[in-house]
Amino acid sequence: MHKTTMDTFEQQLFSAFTVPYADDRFITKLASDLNRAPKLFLQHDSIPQRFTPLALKFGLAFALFVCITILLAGPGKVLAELRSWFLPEFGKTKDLSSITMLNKSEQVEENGYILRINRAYSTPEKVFLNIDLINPEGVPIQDTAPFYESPYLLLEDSSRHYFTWAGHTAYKDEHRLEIDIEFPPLPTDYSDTVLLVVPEWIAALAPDRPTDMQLGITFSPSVPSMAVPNASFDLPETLQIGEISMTIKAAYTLEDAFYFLIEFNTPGPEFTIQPFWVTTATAIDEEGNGYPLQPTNCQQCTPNEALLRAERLSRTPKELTITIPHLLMSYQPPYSPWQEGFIPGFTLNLDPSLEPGHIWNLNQWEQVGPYSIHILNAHLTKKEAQTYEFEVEVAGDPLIRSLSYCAWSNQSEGSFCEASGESNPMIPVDPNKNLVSTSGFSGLQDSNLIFYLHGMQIEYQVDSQLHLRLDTAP
Amino acid sequence: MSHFTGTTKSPGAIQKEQMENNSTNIAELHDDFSEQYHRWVQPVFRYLRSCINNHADAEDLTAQTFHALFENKSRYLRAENFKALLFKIARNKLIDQLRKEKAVQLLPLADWITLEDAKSDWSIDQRIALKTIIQNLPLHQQELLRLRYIAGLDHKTIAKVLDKSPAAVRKAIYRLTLQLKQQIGNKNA
Repeated sequence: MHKTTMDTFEQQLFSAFTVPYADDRFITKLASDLNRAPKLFLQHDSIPQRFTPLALKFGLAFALFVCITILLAGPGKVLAELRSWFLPEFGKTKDLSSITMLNKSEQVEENGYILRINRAYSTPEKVFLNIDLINPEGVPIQDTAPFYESPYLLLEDSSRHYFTWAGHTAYKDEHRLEIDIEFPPLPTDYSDTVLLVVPEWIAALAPDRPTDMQLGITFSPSVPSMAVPNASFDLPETLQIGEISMTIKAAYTLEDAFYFLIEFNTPGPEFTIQPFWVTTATAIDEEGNGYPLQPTNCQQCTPNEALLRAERLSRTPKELTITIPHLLMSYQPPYSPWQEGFIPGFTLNLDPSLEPGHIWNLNQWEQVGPYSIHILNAHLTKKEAQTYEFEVEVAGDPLIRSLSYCAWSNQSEGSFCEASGESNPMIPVDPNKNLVSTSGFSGLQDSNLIFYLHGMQIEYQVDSQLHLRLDTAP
Repeated sequence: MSHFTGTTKSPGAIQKEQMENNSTNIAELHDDFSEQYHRWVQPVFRYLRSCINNHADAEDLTAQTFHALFENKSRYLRAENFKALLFKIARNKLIDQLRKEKAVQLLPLADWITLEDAKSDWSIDQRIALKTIIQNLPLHQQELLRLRYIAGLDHKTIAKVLDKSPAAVRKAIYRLTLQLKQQIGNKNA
């Protein structure tokens, strides 16, 4: 009887979540895309094994060449040249010669609706576009739905390349939607114009919205002057905020914006900077003029790097001051309880005679990287059959915004654990307020219950500043 | 004296024969792939869609998953743990996306329990209770529910996807389901 009831309940769980299915159009299109790919697969599968040693020889020779070059030229210079070129919205690339691009933005208008291509790059791996969909005055952006008719590139031979990825949509203002969109690569040596076709205008629901808008793109060889790092700023510039260092490694100047490549160094890989700081940071020049900041896509950036865009005014500043009111950092333990390397926080012994209200006065410290957490006590708040609930109280700290302790016993994690503290980054931390994390455990079979720090948010409120000087010497 | 039996062939002929054999194998693999594609595209899509609040992104991640699988199908399709590999690829693609698009957050599982669904097998009270409980579950438990009740994977496959022991996964899902049943079961229409 019990098994039948459980089976019925399980069956019900399958229907509890109203996650939509993929539509037939997508299923068919993906199948078709995959069917177009077999040639690549055939080549891959038919490569005889004997080629591998040859590839290895070339690999070793290349590595040796690089080492010799570095020794002769000096690490700094070679690193700078091997390192990267920068292309706005695309990020860094190591081989500028293989990339062609749109030299200036292009646009087409119909009934007041404007399709604009801001940037376009053609690489051996893909075609990348940054586009704006601009509605007329009085028609605000309505982000309706995914494309039902996918945008595509139309080549001279009438073949269509449908988009493979679209993202990083941004509402630039109430009439303008910015989208990054990628397509498969163009055929090698393709030098003709391609047409971007947008069959469906997704930025508005108005009845007069256009269909099948088309815009031609002619790719030209990359222009190094658009892409080289700008040497005008006196860099690198590093700011130390507590245990975090923030370095502006490179800056790039284009007509409409500065781009700053920032590297964060945190106490460890388990600590990651939250991007929220950009929304409150400001940049002003020596005359007090503001430069709006926004995080921007950087496909080539490492996890520790971020690309910051500062919109330019028409004037060239002599100095930029970037003010950072605070930095928010998350911590996630590097090891889960079932993994080797796991370090528990503390252990409670659950004597069967314990009743709700029991308090363990722990008064112990847990070291998490450079941060010390003062665990005051644990409180048994509920006990019903095999279900226990606890509160873990931690002393308030000016740096810790929120944290949670979870329970673990005998190959199972607790049934829930809730973070304590203020998760809204707009509300300041009260360092005098203790943090109380709630967790529960059902089906306990062991008398020992391990608690561990499941996550933590650390915030530095420092109002730090970076001063960047522009070198105006000829 | 030659130690070979049978006809001696030129390297070019051998390579041609290999390619023809490959073509036959590839045709078989294509059929296998097509079958597996149609069998798993919806579970993969629904799993990814349950994680991110954008239909197009979920489609894109699904496409990336199957493209990655397709490019290595001779290796993956014959693998004993094919289903686990498929969902590992999907999860890795999802993680990459979440790291790249820092503004995109993992969608809470509770968001997929709608209170307005008239066709649901659940009463409104049950759905409210289920939503509340799931909202408070740690992420790893929500993940177990996703893989089991949205992707429809069995315990053994989930264990391989999450690099855990099958016994631990079976126990965890059983306890979780029991807990849900105990807390929701009494709330009837």
